Amino acid sequence: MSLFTAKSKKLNIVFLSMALGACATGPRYGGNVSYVDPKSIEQTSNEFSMSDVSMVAEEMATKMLQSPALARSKEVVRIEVSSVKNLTGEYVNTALITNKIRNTLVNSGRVEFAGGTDQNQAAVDALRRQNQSGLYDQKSTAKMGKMQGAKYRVEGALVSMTQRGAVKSVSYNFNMQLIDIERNVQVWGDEKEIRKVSGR
Amino acid sequence: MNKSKRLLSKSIILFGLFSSAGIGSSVLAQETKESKIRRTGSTGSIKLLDLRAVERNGLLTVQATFQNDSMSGSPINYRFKWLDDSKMRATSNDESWKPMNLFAGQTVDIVGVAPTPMATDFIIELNGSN
Repeated sequence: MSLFTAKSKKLNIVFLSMALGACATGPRYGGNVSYVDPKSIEQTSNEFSMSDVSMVAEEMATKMLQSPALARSKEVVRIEVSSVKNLTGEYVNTALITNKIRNTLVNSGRVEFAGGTDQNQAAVDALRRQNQSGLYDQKSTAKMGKMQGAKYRVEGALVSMTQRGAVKSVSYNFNMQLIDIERNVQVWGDEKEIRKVSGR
Repeated sequence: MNKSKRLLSKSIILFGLFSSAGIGSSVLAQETKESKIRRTGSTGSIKLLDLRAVERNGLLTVQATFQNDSMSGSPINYRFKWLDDSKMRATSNDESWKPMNLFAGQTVDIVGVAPTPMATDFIIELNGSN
């Protein structure tokens, strides 16, 4: 009997902890849910937030448009995104930043993005399907050997530094470089800094 | 389009020159500059000192100078709204709000660059978060 009670106590603890875990991460039901402006400033934690992603992306995109390499070019400039590294201790999806920068640059009408290694396979598959499957009218297919190479490559990194004292201070630095692929030289670089202070 | 951009740039720079040199009606110039600022929340202590707009590398570039007139720090948020020739939004999405904390008496320049050559006019949205 006492063994059974001990077992059920253990089971209760396991179930309770599972239930609490589910409550902490699962969806919320019922009241206290409201839509907010996604462009408003998010201050729920001192970690890198969507507001920071938007601020960084907007500023870096407009700075890049003002760079001599892009501003002086009379033609649309073709770029590819090489990598944006997250060198912070937090989980930050850097694709959010690069996608926002890419959209702003493309919509400016001055920049085109060449498919990087991620998109290449899908492009090659589509070309092969159109040209080699025999299913398509050859007059309407996209032709092989017409892909355009990028003139520049974009690289970047997000780094952070944390200081703990009476308050906790986290500084983020997002830096970006534009590299001429043919000459392998950096032709532009800039950075955006964000500093957040919070109670410990 | 280029003509209207040049006209806008010239008019804002001229207003800036008139108000700083005391030529003409400085009240009118100030009102005209102030019409480019859309305020929400408590921004009474944040004064617009200067506003300039030029076309740089084919993109409208705006610099606004604000001063915190109060004796304490003022947290504010701001963002630019870019408009085309027809005063319609030139971008598909609004900019995100940018936070800024002005110390007592501090003067800051905020600079915005239009993300598209279609933008020929602007509004600065200023929100006092206090």
